[in-house]
Amino acid sequence: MQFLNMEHEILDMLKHLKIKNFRLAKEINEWPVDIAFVEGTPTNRDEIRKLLKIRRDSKLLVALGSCAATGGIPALVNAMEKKEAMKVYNGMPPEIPVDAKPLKYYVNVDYTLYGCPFSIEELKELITSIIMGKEFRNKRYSVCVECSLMENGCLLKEGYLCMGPITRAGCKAKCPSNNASCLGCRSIYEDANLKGYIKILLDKGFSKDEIIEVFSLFSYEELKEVIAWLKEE
Amino acid sequence: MAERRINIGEITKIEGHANLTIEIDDNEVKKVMFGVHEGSRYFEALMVGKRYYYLPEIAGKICGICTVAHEIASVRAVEDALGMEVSEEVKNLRKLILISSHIQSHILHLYFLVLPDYKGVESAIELAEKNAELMKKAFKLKEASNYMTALIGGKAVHPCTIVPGKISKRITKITIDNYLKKMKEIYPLLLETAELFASLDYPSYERENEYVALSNGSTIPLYEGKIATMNNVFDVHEYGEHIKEWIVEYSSAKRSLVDGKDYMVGALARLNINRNLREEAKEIANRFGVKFPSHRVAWINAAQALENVHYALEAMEIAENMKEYEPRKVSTPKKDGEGIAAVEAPRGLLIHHYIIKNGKCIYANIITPTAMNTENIERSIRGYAAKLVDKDDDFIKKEVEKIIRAYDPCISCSVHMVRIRD
Repeated sequence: MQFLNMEHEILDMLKHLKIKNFRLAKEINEWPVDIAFVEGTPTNRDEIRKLLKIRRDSKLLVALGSCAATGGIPALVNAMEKKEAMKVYNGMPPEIPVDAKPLKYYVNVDYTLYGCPFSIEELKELITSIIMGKEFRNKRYSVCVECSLMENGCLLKEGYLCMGPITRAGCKAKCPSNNASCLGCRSIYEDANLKGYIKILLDKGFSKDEIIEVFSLFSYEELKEVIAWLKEE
Repeated sequence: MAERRINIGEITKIEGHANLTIEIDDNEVKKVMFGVHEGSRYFEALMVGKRYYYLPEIAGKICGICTVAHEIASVRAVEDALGMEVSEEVKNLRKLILISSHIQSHILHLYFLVLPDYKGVESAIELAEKNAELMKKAFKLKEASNYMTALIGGKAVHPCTIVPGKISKRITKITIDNYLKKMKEIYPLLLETAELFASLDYPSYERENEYVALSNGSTIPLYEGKIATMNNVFDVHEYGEHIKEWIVEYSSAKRSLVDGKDYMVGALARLNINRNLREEAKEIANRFGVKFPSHRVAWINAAQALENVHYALEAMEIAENMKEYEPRKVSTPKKDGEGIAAVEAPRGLLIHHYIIKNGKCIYANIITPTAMNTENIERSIRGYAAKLVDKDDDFIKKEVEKIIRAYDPCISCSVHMVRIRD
């Protein structure tokens, strides 16, 4: 979807690339490809097989968006008892569910674009880098940095549970800039100070239950050890 | 074993994964299976246990195209459950964002998924190579509607400002004016689009069935209203008594009937039920011989393009009368309650239903337009295929694909049909 949201720039991009396989927009779809962009993540065995095939048939594989990058919202189901998950289909699930894992759990991932939705700017940067043979790197600092540059007030200080301090930048702090807390859709960045952040939240009076909930929203897979530790504490 | 079996393994140019099998014996269609084979997504299950203010955020992730409809249905169900009052200006802002995202969704569907079928090309990409001017217009419309959605929602996909009781951020007069200016700018293109899609040579196949849409007697409501069929009107809270769902083994999406009949939701249903299409759109319809109410399935596409004109006019009226908006602190009168809300998503009626206890969701049920349409789609395919049995397989495939695409099925939306009660 976000691909088509590049809008008229797609037309420029088509001068340099050929879209060979795009089921949403094309009738004739071909393999192999040079770059495969994979959105979402497998939730049953059939989809795992599909993913392995895509990996075989492409030179570069890009994990696109939260679900592909970290398991995202679907990973919330991982925290549930499988018995419960089966129950919701009135005892007859169409397929046996598997945990929603990041793509890198199954295959080699060459590049990852974080976020729900991922950033179009980052997508353009990535495609340009690949075409020009340049290096592409994800941001290694927090949403807080971008938020401060936007000269926003601090939502955490105002008493909201904002994930900005530990979340990977690259979104230009869109949510906090619109007076909505960061919910961590880009997951945590490498040097995030989790312990310090949790301490601040507890000092501000947020309960462990609230912290576990917001940590789970987009990062259950990435943070499950921390979540388990919070539960035991 | 059927003597003739037509199979489409993966239907292209629809959102999500679906397949189709038609079995023909003695020149008679014996069996049609429109199967949704998208993995289960368990949205209603994973909403359980979450705090009420995260529900709209989670709901929005069900779909990347009609996020706004899901977020608004969700936020309204939460407000209904907790007895929260919403001001007129918040309602108006939500209507504006609903309209811009509605236009965006229809443009995507019409130009990128539908038009290739009628222009004899395999994709919009090929169309762009042959008719760059036309596709530039499509991109311009898409870009403009995304821009308007982002003005109010903060982001075009998965807006972050739709929260219980309010819009999270301040909306200045300049923002409203920018919205209005953009809508005025694309209005002529929306008229052109309506002319184009009212004039295409659609399959003439008609099938009598029931239609369901929101209704309030005076407009073609998207944001709120009663649920109407061609013969009945009822309150959204009574949906459970009228809409019955069941499971078929070859599909991961549920099927449903209204008052025992198969029904269609979406643009054609809206215009069949609400005879309030504005003059500007009606004039185009008349010029090309498009009339409502109609049972002609492929006219869903014409209806989409025509209602875009209608909603653009409505949005301009709302925006012209709006002042600056300043969010206030909202109060939640109750911590427990049951809430139901219905909105019109681009693909049709969308229902969110929650039970909240101690501020946390303990039950969630979501019925999406595509889940409501699946039974109807299958019956339309059966009916249309029956008229085409003496044609070759490729021709039948192409024609029934037109019918399927007309509904704009959003398969990923349709597979959350899971119920959980704690």
